[in-house]
Amino acid sequence: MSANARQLTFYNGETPVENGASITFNDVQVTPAGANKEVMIAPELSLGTDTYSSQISLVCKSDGESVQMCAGGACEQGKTIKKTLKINGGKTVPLQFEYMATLPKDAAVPKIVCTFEAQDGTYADTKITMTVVLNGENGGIEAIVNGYELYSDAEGVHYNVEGARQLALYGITGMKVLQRTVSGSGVIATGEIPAGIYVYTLGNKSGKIIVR
Amino acid sequence: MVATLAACNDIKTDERFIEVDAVAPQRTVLLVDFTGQNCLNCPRAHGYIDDIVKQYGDAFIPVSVHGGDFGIAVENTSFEDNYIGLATAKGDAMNKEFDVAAWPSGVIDYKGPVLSDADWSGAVRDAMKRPSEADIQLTATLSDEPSAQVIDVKCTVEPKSDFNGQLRIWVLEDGIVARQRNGSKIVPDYVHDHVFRCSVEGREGANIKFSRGIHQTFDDRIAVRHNDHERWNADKLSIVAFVLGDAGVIQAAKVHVTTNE
Repeated sequence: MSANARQLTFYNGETPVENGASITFNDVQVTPAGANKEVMIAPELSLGTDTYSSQISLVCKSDGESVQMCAGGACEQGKTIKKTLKINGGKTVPLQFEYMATLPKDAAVPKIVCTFEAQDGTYADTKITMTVVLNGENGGIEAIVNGYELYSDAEGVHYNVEGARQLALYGITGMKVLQRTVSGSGVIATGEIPAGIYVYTLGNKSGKIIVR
Repeated sequence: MVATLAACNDIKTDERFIEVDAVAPQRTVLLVDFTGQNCLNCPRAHGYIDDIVKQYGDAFIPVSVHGGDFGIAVENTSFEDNYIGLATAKGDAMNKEFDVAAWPSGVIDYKGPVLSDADWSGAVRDAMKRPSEADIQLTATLSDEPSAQVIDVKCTVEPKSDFNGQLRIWVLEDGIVARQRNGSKIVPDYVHDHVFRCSVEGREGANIKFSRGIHQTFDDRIAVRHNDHERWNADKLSIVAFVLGDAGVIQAAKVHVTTNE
């Protein structure tokens, strides 16, 4: 007789999320509402198990704004939301996790970082986590590069790398506007880089970033 | 020792249910459904309400109170953008009164505990068995005044015993077409029924002494709202009246608003 694996997995759509990973969502839905606007960022996240359990704890913590989560049951809103879930073996439950708010028409949509933690009852070795970044309009394009992180907001271009890496930004004409060796976590202040769209290289990775 | 396994039932745990036979109603039962247009799973609760209405008909009065964290405030309504909010300040106050923290939720006969929608059917059935201490006769008539349409409400309470209670008079509206979240979708033309629109404020908190066999009649006049935030459809309005005692609703009644012809 084989022992149950008893394993939990977060999913982004159909794709399993590696334990401890960070994923980003930039898609903001905006609904006009007179002098206001209703904004919604609604990633399709779910939680699955290979073994039936009625005691799966799920905690979502936001770093700032209130978020909402229903996970198939009653919907709650807040900066910390805790649920106890019942999930059949081999099945998933949609987290029904969103940021939704009514904001003044010209207000910026905030960037929100949420951490999720799930555990099957008292089985501590089933604990999994993930970080979800809801980018809003404050962020540019957030690039996740093999666990490195590079993003831009009103403060500047933030980096978070292991070891020393060469960071370079190129304007749309191909002209290099910045080259710096970066390591660990830090920010390159906005004043150093004019606002615009840039191509970046970070180590041997590349992408696009908007500097505001 | 040889281990044997009996065949297991293939019905999933979350799909098992026990069908409960309806009881003969001894009174009218009120359900306050705490709901919100941005609540993803609230349409499920609306479906449960429809099922209970089919079982008990006029003996069951559901009231959908929009408010709380998932409500869209009437003040945010923009008819130009077809963005219509149904959450009133009174709806928010009722959410706070019962300390509602998750939606959908509900209370039976305006008395805690706050119940998950899955528990409503059984709780309504239990409430139906309790005899009532009063009867209510209710009429609501619409007439045109120079400045607005008004509803004249006449409510007569016929006590069967002595008790102290409060009278509440609410306006409900059916058939409101406005957006509603349903799971991951936004339904722009969802039809909202039995929506709480307003309460006759003068009645709130006023204790009344009711004596056995002595009928008391209460008259109220309610203006039909038509403004930048709310536009009631007079053809779809109802009035709910209930007497509230310490143990919850003693009796409730509902009547559609009719025209005075």
